[in-house]
Amino acid sequence: MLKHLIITLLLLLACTPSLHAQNTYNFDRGVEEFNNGHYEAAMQLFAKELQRNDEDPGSWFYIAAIYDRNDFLGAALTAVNNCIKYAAPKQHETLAMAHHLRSTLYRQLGDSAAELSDLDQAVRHTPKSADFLRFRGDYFYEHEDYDRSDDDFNKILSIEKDNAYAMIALARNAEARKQYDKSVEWCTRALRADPEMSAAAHMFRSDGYMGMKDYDNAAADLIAAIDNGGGRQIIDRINTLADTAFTPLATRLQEKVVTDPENENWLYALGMVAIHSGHPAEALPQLEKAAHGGDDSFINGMLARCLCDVGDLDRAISVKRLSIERDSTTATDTYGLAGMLKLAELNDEAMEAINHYIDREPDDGDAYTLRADIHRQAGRIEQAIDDYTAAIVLLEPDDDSAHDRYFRGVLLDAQGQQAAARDDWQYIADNYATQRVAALANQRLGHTDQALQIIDSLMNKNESNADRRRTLWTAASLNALLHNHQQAIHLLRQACQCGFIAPALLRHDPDLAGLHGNPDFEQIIESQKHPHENTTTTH
Amino acid sequence: MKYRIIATLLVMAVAIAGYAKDVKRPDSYNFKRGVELYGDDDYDQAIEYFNKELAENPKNGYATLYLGMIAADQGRNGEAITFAQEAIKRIPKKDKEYVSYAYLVLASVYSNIDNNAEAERNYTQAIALNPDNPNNYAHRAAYYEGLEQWDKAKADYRRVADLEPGSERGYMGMAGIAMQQERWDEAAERYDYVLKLTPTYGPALVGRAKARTALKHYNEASDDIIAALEQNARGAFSAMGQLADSALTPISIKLRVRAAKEPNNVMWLNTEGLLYDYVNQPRKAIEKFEASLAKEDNPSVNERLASCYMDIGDGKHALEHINKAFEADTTDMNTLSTRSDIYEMMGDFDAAIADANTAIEHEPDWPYFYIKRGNIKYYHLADYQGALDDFNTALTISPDNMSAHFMAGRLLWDMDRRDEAREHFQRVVELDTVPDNSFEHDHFIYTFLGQPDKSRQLLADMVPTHKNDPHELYDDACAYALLGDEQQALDVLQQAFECGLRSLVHVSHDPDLASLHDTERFKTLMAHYTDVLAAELQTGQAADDDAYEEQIVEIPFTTEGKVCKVKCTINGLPLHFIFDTGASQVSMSNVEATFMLKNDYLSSRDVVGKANYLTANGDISEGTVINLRDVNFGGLTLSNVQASIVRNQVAPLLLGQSVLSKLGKIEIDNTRHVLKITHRVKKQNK
Repeated sequence: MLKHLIITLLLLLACTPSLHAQNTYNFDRGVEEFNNGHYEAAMQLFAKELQRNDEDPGSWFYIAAIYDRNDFLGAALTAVNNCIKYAAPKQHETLAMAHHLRSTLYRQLGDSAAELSDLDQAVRHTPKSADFLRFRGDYFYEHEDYDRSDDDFNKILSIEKDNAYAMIALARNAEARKQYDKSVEWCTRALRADPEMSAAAHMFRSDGYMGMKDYDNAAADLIAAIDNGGGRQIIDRINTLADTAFTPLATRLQEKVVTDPENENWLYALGMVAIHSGHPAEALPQLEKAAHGGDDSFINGMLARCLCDVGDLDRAISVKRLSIERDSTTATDTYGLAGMLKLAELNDEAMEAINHYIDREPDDGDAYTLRADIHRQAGRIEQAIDDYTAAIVLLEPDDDSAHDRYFRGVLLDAQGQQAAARDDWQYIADNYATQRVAALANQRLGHTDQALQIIDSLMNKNESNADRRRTLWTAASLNALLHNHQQAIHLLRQACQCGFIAPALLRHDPDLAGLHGNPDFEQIIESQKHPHENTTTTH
Repeated sequence: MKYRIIATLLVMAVAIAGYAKDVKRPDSYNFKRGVELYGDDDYDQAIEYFNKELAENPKNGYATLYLGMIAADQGRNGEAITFAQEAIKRIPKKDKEYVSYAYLVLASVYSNIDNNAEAERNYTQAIALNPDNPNNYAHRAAYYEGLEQWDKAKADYRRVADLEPGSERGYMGMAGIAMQQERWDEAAERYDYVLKLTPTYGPALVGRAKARTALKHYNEASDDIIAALEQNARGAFSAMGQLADSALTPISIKLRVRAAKEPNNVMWLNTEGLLYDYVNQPRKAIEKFEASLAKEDNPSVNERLASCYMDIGDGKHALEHINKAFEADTTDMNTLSTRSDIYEMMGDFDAAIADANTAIEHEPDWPYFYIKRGNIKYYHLADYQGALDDFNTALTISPDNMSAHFMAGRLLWDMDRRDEAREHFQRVVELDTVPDNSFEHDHFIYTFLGQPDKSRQLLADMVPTHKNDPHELYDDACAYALLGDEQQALDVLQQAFECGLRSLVHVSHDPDLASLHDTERFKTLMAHYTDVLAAELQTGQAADDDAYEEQIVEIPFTTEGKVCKVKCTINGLPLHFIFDTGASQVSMSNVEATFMLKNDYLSSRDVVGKANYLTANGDISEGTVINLRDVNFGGLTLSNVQASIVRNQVAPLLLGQSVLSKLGKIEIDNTRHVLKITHRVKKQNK
């Protein structure tokens, strides 16, 4: 929505003179106010202009744009229809812009056919315009009509031979068809054509290399994308690469941290990769160095997270507290602190922190989940059930509530409310069928075969370290529920080898209740108390 | 949104102006004035001017049409038809818009008098003449809906949507049909589309909430209801009630969260209170209403609280709150009526009668108060003749009043005048013609009319649906008692007590339960719940008494002319306020408010309410409501006081009596120039 609005505004700036048959004060002032972002004032001026001349297409167009900006699509549609109705047939630029605007309205209304029809009209009115061809080309890409998308972008290149966007779009289309070599080729051309588009070109080329399983080059391109100002949206792509090629990626990132210490994106990327892949220790030395004496909340936050993931809870909590002292306005720090305090089994302090967070963000469903977990850990069952219920209400239907449903079911079952508990587990089985928690829910429902099937499927998946740890832990829980204690212990040991699991989580996990008192289980808990003291990094 | 109004008018102006280009319409003074007066709903004057016009221009079909429209609006259907038919003959044929409209008027009138053939013919003719006018299709669609011809109606609404794709109208019509046909998925989809067109469209939010409730998508339905409440959409509360009937949890949680997100907007607390009141959880309702009152004084909230305290049998607090509500408006007889109920509940029948008498003096034409007084005389004072006189007076004022007939019948039955009683009950049966809204005492009436099986059948259907409602269960218990089903009556009565029934005085005097009064079980139940109520009230009162004590604080003031000025600080900024016994709220000038904002004594989060906006250069505009976090004077603090901003630059900071009275009792000592405030403070632990 934002992207199309920006494009519309830029087009408006370019085409304003053509939108209006003759300049009038109201119209010109209206345009000025519109460009300054004073939409209410602009609206009034365009309305005045229409009182003078109710068939002015320019005024109708701007009114439509203002309504669109405020999400009143119906009123925008009515206004842009008037623009199209009153524009003279030869006002091609005006009509192209109006049809384009209307296409964006139909897009938002979910009417693809009407959207395309208007895009066609926009192109028809201005066949030499790269902009409208681009919009249509993107439409075809989104609708997986790659041939027609290619046609449009090739047309752009025939008009503007160095149009890097078109080249990248063709690369994107090729990648969608799994023609990775072609994709790489187009991106290489884009890099030569327009250095301004380097970040995007490198990013898409890395996709191509990923498809070709050339992970070294994929990593190199992603690094180059970040180097060229790619920002956090590219960094988030790195996690995908890290799942299959952690070591080469981590090595390159560590090099960049040393050679380009001013650009904190490298530390962010390294931290993200390390945590995502389940190798938090890899990022620690650099994060410690960067954080030392500094008050960068982002670096401190990443450091705290890595410390937590290696099991050094005391230091993690200390770093987090320091971060909050320096800047108490960042609510998410309080949330993070509450989570760490919970892991350290400092329930009262955890409760204080999460209550503080909920005061500021009362509609964050995940916060009620965390508070419910703290209540559960502290043995406050009724409060835990209430908070799981609040979390479920706030998270569903758009966000994942499986954790809440599962544990609420467990607590309700313990209180003798079997029917309600079964409802919760059945909800998980129906809506989160392939997730780890579905295995446990199925087991609780007595569907052991189904539970085992889910676990087997997950165990055969190629997973990151962090995901593998979770899968092994779930498998251990399932075996504990099935009273296969020896197997449960074995799997739990394997899980702990993949990464730190807080003793509090193990001790309070209701699925592992059957292992309480087992000396091997106690030994595993003991081993997790200070695992960071034995942690080594791979440089 | 004001953009919408401006543009809608512009669109209409364009449409009408465009059409009128080829046709000369009347522009005489009389005609134009008539049209203006019609637009202002001043029909008598409008008729006068149109008649003047016709006296000068007898062939003016337009004026004739307007007379037809007025006749139709006033229910003079015959005249409306005549005028419209005449207008069709006189309006120039090429003015298809107006001729079409004349057919539309005819069609509407025929529809009203159930002449469906003519109605349909005229709608079709209107459309044929002006096929691109969405109004014609919309009217015909509504007509088809009335006849439950769903496919035809839907087709017409589809045409409306095609002709005006940016308007909600056609899609709302299709959604409404889907709702009537209980095609909830389709309805929800249509409402989705409407809300994409106009995200704040209240009727669509309410409609989608209902569809989602039917689909058991309770979380999403809750979101819609909250959005609808924000828009003050009609039907939002009713939709909330429907949802609460199926799933209280999601809506109560979402309201709670909303109240936490907007702590200065008491609307959410009040809505939570209403919700809990609706689902018969008066204690939770009390909690919310009390929290709301702590932020903002409101007589309606006081009234609600009185009602809730009455529900839990706490007469003392009920009286306290109803008196506050009554102080705010001593002409509100409904408030007085509630106070009469409270006195009755507390057993102070003299005071109950006194209030009913006052209400009758003020509103001698309202049957309701006579019925109320009659009930007190009948139930508690054994003044049967007095009660009968009151019921008969009610019937004189309102001969079809079912409650009055029922009570008269009930009383006459006890006076052994059974034939007369039966006449009244029979009359209720005759009057009770609305199928989905039966008279609340049907299950009693059939017993008296010698049809006990019918009463039992009604009860068998009703009782399971009343499982959480102590008042409905109580009525059911009375009905069983009148049927002579003693065991059933006592079981349901016990259920009513377990659900929270606490009006013990009423129960002990209710003639409907006379057959149970001497049974051991009834006596045991009454004794037990008398103790329960005493313990419940004791807990509440003890909590109050233990925690608080009274203190008197004296705050000096100066006088300037006739006003009292008192020093204060607001969010730490030293100011003076004018103590205004006549003002109810707080107001300050926009200059003062802007100064506070720009110097960090206020933040943007303190700007609240529907008028909450800052101008582009950061000033606060007139009409804005702001929240003053701390208003301190003489060591006393008011928190979260809402203030209205006035444009007058020299307007002083005004603090009204009702705001200050939150602290306690206020007295002005003009001799010593002090304000004496008597307030309750928490006791210090020793």
